Amino acid sequence: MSGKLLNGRAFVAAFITVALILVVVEIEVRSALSDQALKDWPEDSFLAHERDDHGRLMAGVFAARSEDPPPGGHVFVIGGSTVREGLLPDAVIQRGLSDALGAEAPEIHTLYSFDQTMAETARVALNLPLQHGDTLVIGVNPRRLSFGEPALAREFVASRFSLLSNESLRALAATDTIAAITGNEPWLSETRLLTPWDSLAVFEHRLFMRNWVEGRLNANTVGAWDNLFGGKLGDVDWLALADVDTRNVRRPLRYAYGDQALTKREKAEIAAAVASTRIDAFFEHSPVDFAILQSLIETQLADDVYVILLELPRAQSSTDVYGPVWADYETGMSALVEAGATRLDLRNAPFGDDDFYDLEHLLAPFRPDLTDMFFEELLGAELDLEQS
Amino acid sequence: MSTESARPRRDFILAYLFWLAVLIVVCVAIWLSSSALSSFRYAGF
Repeated sequence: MSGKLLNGRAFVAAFITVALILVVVEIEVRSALSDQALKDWPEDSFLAHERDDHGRLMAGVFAARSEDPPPGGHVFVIGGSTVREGLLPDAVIQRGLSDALGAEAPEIHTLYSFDQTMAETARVALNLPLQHGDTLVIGVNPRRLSFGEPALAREFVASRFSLLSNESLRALAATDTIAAITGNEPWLSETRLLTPWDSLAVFEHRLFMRNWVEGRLNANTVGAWDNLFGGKLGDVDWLALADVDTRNVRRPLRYAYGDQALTKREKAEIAAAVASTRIDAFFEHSPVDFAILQSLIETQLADDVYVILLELPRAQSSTDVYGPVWADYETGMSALVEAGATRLDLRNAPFGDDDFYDLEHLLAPFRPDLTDMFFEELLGAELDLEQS
Repeated sequence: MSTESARPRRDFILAYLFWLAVLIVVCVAIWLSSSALSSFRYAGF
């Protein structure tokens, strides 16, 4: 390095300049992503792209929070991709509820996101405007109960839902039910002295910001930057690096699968993957996820919020491959029912293996049937929806 | 202004710009690497 560049004063001046830039960026990001500012964001402006489940979900939470409580209360359905793919849009279910219950029908919101962990479910639920008599429907299955402690820890360091506060989740994670398993790990205590950058909005919201920017840039630009930072200099499209054209994001697209299923061979490969990794993951992580659910149920029941655990249909081949977990799964679910949750078990609904895209996601033509079943179970779940 | 007095200033500005660029690249790289989460990319399930 040239001796002229080893200039201490120049380095200090550059360091101070960068620090000032960071302060300005931090103030701007904190201001733009504050609860108050987010209320004014148009709903589709949260979306990084049309299939951004997380942006769509957070927009749904903010929209529900900004509305006056509906006279019939709320029904919030929270879950992963099986909920997303299995049920018809909210407007259809809403029409059914209104036909059945009249003007006092509750307002339904389905809050789905792919690979949603139980820690994420809890974070979302704890940010909802739930009131006495509201209903919280949580999609459950062995896969969703297999993320455990790493996923809970991730909510405090790198969440996909960072725009939703994690303070209530922090309190939930400190309850005896969860802490008895996690041992009140350091990530639950005050770590900001050790990692002060955790307090920075620019750091806390980095996943959202990156996803949001990447989704609005064109694919060539994102690929060029990926190659640059990935060290693949020979593959970098240098002109694309500077292409900052952004595209408008329109309404969210909910469904990923249509009416075409995977081949039998592809389904067999998924079953093999489940057998080789997800069974072990369930036994390793489900205690924490069951504890999160139990604490969440207790918290909601204390506020007179009904909690329904919704189990959606699965192909027989899925039931078979998950065979080793069912005994433990049933024990865990029974404990949750004892804690006060209501269980809606649609696992044995009459769908065949060919009715699923893979092993668990129902194909489009069968959504109306499943929605009807869900609807009937919801009305028959002794929840007294008319009083909510 | 004499050539002798302008040279240190030019050297300082060059060194300043060099370190500014280095520090900005380091900050951006740290931010990008810490925000990399492959499962966040839409996978369809």
